[in-house]
Amino acid sequence: MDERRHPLKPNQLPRWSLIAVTAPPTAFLLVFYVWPFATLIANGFNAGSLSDTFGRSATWRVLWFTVWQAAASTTLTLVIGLAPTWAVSRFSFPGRRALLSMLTAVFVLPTVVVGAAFVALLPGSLDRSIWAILGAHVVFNLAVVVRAVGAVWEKLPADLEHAGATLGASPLQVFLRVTLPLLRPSLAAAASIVFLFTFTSFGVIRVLGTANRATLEVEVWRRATQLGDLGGAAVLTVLQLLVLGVLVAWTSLVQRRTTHVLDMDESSSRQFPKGKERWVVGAAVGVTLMLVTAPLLALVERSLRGDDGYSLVAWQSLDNNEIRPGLRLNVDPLGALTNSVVTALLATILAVVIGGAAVISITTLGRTGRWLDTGLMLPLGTSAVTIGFGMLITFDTPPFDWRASWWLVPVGHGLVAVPFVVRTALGVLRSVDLDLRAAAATLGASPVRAWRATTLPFLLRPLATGAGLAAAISLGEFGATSFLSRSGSETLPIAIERLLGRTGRIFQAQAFALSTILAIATIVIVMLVDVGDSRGE
Amino acid sequence: MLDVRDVSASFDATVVLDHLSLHVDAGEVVALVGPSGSGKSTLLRVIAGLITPDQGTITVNGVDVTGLPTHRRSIGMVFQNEQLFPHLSVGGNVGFALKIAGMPTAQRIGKVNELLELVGLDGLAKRRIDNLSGGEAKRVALARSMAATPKVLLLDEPLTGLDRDLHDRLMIDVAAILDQTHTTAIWVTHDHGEAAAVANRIESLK
Repeated sequence: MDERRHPLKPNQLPRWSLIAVTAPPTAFLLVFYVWPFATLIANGFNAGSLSDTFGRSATWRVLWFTVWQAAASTTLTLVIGLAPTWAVSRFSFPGRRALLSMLTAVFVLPTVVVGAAFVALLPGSLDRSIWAILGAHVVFNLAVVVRAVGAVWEKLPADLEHAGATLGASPLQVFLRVTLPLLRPSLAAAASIVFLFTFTSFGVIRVLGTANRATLEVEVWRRATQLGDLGGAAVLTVLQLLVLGVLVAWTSLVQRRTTHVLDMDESSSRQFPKGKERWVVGAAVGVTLMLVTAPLLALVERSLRGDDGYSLVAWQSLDNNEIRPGLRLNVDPLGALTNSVVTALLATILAVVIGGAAVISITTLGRTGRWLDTGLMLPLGTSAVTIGFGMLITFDTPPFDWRASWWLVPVGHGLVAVPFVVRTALGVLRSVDLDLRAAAATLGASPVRAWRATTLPFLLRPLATGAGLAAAISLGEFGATSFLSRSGSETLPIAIERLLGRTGRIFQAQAFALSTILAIATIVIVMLVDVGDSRGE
Repeated sequence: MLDVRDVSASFDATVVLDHLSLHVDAGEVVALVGPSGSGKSTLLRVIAGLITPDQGTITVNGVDVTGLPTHRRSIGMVFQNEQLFPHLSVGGNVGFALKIAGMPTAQRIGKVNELLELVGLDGLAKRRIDNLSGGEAKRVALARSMAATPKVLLLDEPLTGLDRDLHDRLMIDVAAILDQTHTTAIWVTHDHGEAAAVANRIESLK
């Protein structure tokens, strides 16, 4: 009999403890996600705003730009990503793991940092061009292609390709008629993820875009915070949700149609490249490494470039925002660093407490728990801009006028991070053998005591992993923060974006210095999480 | 017809084939028997060009093919677990080589049906690969290899994984098809009974 379906009824946790773990995440979700989201949708269906927004040619221009830059970014990422994917999935070579880690490191970087890195890399004439945007999107998302397609490619039985060769197909024909069709579902999956990311691109476009090159997300922000057109911004948010809804439905349909049953080769047969292969693999790996490292190196290099030659001026002046004696810039670089650390700390604590309570509730409530599980995943599928904007227009009237509250930014970050905590911890908690608790009960432990002795220890490691992810997410969060940040309490990404918008070499260099700090912090946190995870296994 | 001369192959430091030679006449079916790890499959892969030997030569009809890539050797292979293309139908699999060779569609359809009839699967061209029984999949694999009209056909334990009854029926059928089409073949098996039933000659690897 399946123990899970027939939980140990008399040994269940007492009602009060269930309420204690269910109420906080439910209330958190209702107040900070459901309510703002509902307010936003209600605003989006306002007849006046609808006709105003769709009557404006700018709306269609923004929509068109959003679609075509996403399509172009996706195509380029797939094409450029195919060579390194082939290399890492088919071959063993020194530096293979390093390349994969490097790609992942870039993928987890805050969007604003990647934008800044391209400003640093490209000459002034190009740094606000469409090429900068496409380049940043490609470098950012290469990891998606390499991971998603590589996972299938390295397990494609080599004998399927051999069979093609024995039937007279040349290597190119084998690739086109055997390999590529078999990779198609994974390519489609990677393409839809990259399209989703680039369609909702915000940080990269804020840094690298211009007034004529705005995505829907950036236009929502501009309308809401710069032009005060809340209705128009809400309409655009709903438009984006509709487009994304259609896209997700379409891709899942295509996925289902093109999926084949494959006998995956579980023992991957990666070999050292031989002869001519060595050059091709070397070239693929070399070019990819250059693509992902050059922007980051440029970031560091430009942070060290002063008015005359290399210097540490930008780094040394991070605590000083005086332009001239008596005249101060409205950005405080060092203050932003402190704000970011404090915000990340609060957001992490919040995400871990709410997420931790949620997983206990979800695993104990059984079927009812699924509602909470699904609900807490929703922020993951909602763009941060939508979340921030929703909160901005919801919490603007007393007694809920919280816009000036210091805690609103950490709450927004916490909301974005909770799904990561829940997903990390839920799997682990579900795999805990219920018999352990039964054993503890037979030894005289009360339900709460038995739970604490047998289940709690398993929860600590995934919660630590979740905390790391939450901290990394909060440090780089830019979308929601753009709406919720109060002046004087800017976080690092906000400060970087502002400094980059200033003329003056020193401000740019400061922005690059802050980006370097943020990049290193993010990469270190994600590496720690990774190491902790692999030790746990 | 097929001459394997003095072939050696090794993986890392393990010698799998040690100065091995083998001759197969035109139209002859040679069974290659030997215990697991004796290098039967490796030898087939060397002949097909999927593994490069450390030394030795492979000649087909007097032409040295040792340096030729697999797709130019005209050596067909039936793989141990069929390796049917999961994204193609039965007809698509059988017609694969014909399509590669550039045969016009109408002619190809006719030829595919002819081959399916030969292996006893007439009318199954449109069937999905994952809807085939074990025996049917093996028949499709045979038809697919025969479509390329290879000079030599290599069969790597082509009847593994079938129950005794089906194994015996298919063994008789496949042997008859090879005989009927005068196919030059090497049939790898570890089953001496199977070897005796299908082959004109048995070679043993130790």
